[in-house]
Amino acid sequence: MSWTDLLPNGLQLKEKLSKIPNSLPLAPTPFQIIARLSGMKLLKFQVPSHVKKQTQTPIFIVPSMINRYYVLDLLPGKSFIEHFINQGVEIYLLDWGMPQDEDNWLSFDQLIKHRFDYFIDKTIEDSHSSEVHLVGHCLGGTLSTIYASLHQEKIKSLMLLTAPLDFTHGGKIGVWARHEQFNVASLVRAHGNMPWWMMQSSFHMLKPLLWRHKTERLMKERSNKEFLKNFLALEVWSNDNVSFPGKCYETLINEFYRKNSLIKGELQVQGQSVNLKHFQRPVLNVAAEDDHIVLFNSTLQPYHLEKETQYQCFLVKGGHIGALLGSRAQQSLWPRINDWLLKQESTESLQ
Amino acid sequence: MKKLFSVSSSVFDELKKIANSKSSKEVEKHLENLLEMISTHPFFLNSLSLVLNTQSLSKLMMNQTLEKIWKSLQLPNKKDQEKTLYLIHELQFKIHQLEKELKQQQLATQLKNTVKIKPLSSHESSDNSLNNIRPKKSASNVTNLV
Repeated sequence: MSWTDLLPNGLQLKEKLSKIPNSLPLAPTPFQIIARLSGMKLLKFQVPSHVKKQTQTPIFIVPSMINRYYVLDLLPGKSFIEHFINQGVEIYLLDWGMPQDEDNWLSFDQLIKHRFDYFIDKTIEDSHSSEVHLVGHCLGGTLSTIYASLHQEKIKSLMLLTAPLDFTHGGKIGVWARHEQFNVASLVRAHGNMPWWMMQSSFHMLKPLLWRHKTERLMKERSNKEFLKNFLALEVWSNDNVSFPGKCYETLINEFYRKNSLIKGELQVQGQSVNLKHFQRPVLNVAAEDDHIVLFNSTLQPYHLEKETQYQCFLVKGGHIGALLGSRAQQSLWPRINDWLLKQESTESLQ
Repeated sequence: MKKLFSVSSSVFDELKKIANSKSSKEVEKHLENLLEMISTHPFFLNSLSLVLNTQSLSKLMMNQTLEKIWKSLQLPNKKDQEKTLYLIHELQFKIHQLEKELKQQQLATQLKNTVKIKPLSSHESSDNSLNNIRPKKSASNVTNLV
């Protein structure tokens, strides 16, 4: 039974609500599928024919593993991806898809060294480039940082969009994850992949009164069609969750939240140690001031890197998603990211 | 235990504040604080963990019973099928890796072949093939040290 079954029949709300996701032009940018592995896909967003290509090196976007990728391509005119391809930057995106039952066997090491590496290689092959500008959003940023530290030769620059790295500042999620009676191993053994509804309910518990603010705003702006469209699109996206591969979830809790091994330099991926101090490519960190999911202190800080590493940080007003994709971000953040990218493109790669 | 009591007293303080609030904004502010305290309260976390662990355990037991039934019918269970599919994906990756290695080897052999086309001899030094391999001198990269 779905919650929509509880709605009264007289208003025909059930039929109206079920039509919303299909009526919205979500994920409007056309793409090609370059490669597939299990439920994962590599999507290519080509530069439109009337736009001159500005960069030889493509962008490789790694979205968060707990949500769908299309938050970065939400609506026409509100799409991060659309903006960059219109600026002449070719984009490849790793769509995690919905993990299949067999993915609960996938270890964190295999995720990085096999799957991630496979899609990066496919991107390099398809774009005829030797490197990529790696962009990681949220947890995708954590994975991107690990991959970039292990395979610097394939990375021209690293851009992190509200990505958690220092899990000692994990906020409320950190408190829950570190709780000694939370038995992650038995949870994963029982469920296989970590069910999306469990993770979503924990995110709802982060700000239990958020729904009240949302309803208040919705009531105020109910006659504003543009607001309604954006609001509904974001709501559809935030309720369209994906499960998390079981073994990887166990590593996320044990290695990251409990041991903070990435920042301590103790993380091992297939016997190779991940050391951020050895990372030498230019880094851009985009963090949000009012982010209650990824706190500013948990994002990459200059002291996590070697002094010589080029580091820049854009601290943006807004929450976890609004800071990156809101109208303010479109006007000020996206052009600055574009400038930063073009600057990296013009500099010679360190070998 | 001390911590539990100190947190509990602050929860009651916050409840009192809600009762004494004069505006809805004040109620909301204190309610938010209260929920924040509850959601990190050891009692709440212990109970939630207990619920999760019990639920996991019962699901695990059910899975194991189902596995036994399938096994008694001499049929592969869900776990077996998952593992087979997982291994197929890993094989796909290994094929990709082998292809990559093969390409690299082919490139290396091609490079070797171009270098080993003809052995050098004094009268062949002006040979065109050799000129292709040697770095060409241009005005810009030649620095005269004399």
